[in-house]
Amino acid sequence: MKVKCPECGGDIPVPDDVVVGEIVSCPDCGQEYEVYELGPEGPKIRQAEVAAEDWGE
Amino acid sequence: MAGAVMLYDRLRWEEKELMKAAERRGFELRTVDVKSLVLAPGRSIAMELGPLVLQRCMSHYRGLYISALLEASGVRVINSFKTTRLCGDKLLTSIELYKAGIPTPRFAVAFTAESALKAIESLGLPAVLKPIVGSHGRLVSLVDDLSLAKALLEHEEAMGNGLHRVHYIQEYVPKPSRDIRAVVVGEEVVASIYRYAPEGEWRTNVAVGGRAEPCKLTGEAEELALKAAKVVGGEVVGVDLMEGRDGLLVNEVNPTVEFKGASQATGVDVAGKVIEYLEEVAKR
Repeated sequence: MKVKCPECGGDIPVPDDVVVGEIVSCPDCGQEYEVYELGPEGPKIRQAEVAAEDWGE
Repeated sequence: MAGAVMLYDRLRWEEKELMKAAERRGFELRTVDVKSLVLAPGRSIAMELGPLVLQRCMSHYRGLYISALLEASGVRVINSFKTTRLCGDKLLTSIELYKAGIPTPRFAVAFTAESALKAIESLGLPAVLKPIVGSHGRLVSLVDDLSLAKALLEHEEAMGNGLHRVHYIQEYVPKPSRDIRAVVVGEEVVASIYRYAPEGEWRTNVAVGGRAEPCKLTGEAEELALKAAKVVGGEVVGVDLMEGRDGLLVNEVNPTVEFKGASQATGVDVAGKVIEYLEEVAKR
């Protein structure tokens, strides 16, 4: 499966077993996206959050 | 059938493994993105999420506050609010370890750059400066001269956030270029690894390129890891141990433990162990 990168128009590969919440990244421009919905028209993506100071384990 | 909810804000390798492990074991694990939740304490949130929650937020503060709110609403959260509060704050963790008599590196806290410099002098150079909240080795600095320390402290003070003016200073422990990560689930160490610092780096975090290798824990190390987990009430945690000259020291306890390195280096199905533990708790 592929989705269009809203940033650069590149093709972002999305695994067939993708789950909501999964992070995908554009091989062309490197932007990271979060899959937020799986619909009949394919996965919907939005820009993933960038790492914040309190992120970690 | 009793199941659980896994709260997340970003699905890491670990969360995906937990989902797969739950599916394999036939355990109902519903995933909920905390970014989509609107939370008010009370029955409705408990009804929406159910009696048992595995809190796996990458953001410490999201995890912390949601745990408090859920517990106030009668939900059992793993790890507990108490554990997340103590372990998400390196100063509170150190104090808790100290109170329990668990060997840990010497540390001091200072509230101005000036007093922090004095603390560094009294602990001796080199010393380690750490943000009290943070992970993956971010902004953790090894200082071996006072003018560098001064510059770092001034930068911290300029960062605006009040937490950066609480200066946590830890002695530098001379040790092999590795530490030990023990993954504790329930009352068991399920996997343990050495984390080797990459070339040209003193930090061993896998996030900065540290390499994981299997580690067979000695009885002493295992006992220490379990004890450290216990004093902070940790149920699923990563205990970091250092091999100091005079014996093992507990450095940190991680409340939202990342176990990719540990799973891949040891072949242990850590995610499966976590789900198994959830099953047990759900039955109680």
